[in-house]
Amino acid sequence: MAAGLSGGHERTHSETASNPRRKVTMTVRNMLCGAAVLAIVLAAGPGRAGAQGFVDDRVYRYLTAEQLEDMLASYGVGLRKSENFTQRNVYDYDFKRDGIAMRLTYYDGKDLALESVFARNTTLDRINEWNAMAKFSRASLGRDAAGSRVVLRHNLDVIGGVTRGTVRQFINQFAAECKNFDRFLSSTTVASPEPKTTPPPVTTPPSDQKIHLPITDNTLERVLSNLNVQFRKQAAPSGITVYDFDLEGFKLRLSNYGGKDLMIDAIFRKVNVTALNKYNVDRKFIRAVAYKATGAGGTDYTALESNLDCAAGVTDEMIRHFITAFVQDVRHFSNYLSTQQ
Amino acid sequence: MCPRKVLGPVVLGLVLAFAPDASAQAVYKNVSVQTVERILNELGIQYKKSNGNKEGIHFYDYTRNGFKIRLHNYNGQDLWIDALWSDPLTIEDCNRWNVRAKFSRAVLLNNNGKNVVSLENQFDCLGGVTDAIVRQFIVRFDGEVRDFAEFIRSSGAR
Repeated sequence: MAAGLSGGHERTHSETASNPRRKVTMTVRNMLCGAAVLAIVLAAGPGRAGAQGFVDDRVYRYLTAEQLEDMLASYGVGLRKSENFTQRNVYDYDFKRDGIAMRLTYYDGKDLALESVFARNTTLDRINEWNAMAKFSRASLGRDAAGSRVVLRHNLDVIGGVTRGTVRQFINQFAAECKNFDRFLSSTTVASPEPKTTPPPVTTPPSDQKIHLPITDNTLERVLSNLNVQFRKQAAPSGITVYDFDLEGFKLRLSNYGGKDLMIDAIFRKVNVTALNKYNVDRKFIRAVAYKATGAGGTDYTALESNLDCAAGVTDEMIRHFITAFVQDVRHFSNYLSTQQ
Repeated sequence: MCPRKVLGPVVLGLVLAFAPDASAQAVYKNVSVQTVERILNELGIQYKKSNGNKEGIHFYDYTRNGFKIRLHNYNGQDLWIDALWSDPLTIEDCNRWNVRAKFSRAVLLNNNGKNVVSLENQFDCLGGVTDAIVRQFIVRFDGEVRDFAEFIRSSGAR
């Protein structure tokens, strides 16, 4: 046996897709409504991370408008709320952060959007130049009755799970992007948005989510239900429980091996082992495996698999991440297979 | 699905030995250099540290049970552990291991014209991780390495 360096193993994480939406103009009625909400928010006092010293590290996969307003209040954001009458449960919050006017739009608790308008003349080439460089924002150039509008936007997907810290960072990051973008627009040379390079390590404060050991079927079923997954369950006397379900158009199987480890897999057509080895070399967290047919009439097949060792205990969020990250791998593998014979 | 490898009693013993107090563990999503090194020290592992080409990437080389192992830390977001074999294995051999494996995979690499097999495992920390999980990740791989060596030696490989 020989041990050596494993070069070429540096791989990148995929970016979450954003979800731009449109908004409508605010009315006086909306402003009055917002003022009332603001008064309630301010009367509620500091957030849970305030004087009591209790840090709320809960992960929200759906945010109510009240929870968002509570967060904004705890960040010291004075806001004005308006309702979007063309879409249900969509609200706009206008406020200033570091002197920059911005609008936060709440989309039915599932995602948030920040935008800021810049009164500057620029060209589509410059907008494109920014978009090519920026990581946390995108710019657009539009025209309306008042003339041309330069808008910077940033989106946050809530469904994947956010904490109060995530929302605060979302706002602070956008404020920094706005400053950089303003400098970029005012200069003829390229300013410096947050570059698309590997970010420096971020130290996330520890949280105290409940750790499960062993993993019960109830735990798994709760996680699957929270993912809005309808599953078919099969329990074997050997202590293995299997859940078959569809997620994002893919058929997946999650197996619980006595609460000590989880395995998730998806089945594909037969592919030659050289192509599978190449895939394994290039990817992380998964294993592409060629299987021979079992039983009469069976056919050879390929499985994409991933295992989660639960012997040291795992949280709901780890299980959830294990499943949702695997779906992205399945999609990637499916695309890879389309290039293979 | 095909039958899976059943874990041996030795691994189970290790699991129990490192079983955490599930009631009070900090969950974090970024494994710091300090955390990795503290856990390696707690496991009594003497390592040699080196840095990757990019900032935030660190390698820890050490020997366990006679096998040379490398632990990688990629910006605290994912951990990677591997051991390399120069034995004359084929892609089919790697696949036969992968059919039975749970907590590792074997891949055939071509390093400057020379075939090398990497037995490896990765852990995605973005969903959260604890000290106990990092410890388990390292200790579990010891068992995978031992089993893979046996796989090569016995009828598993040619």
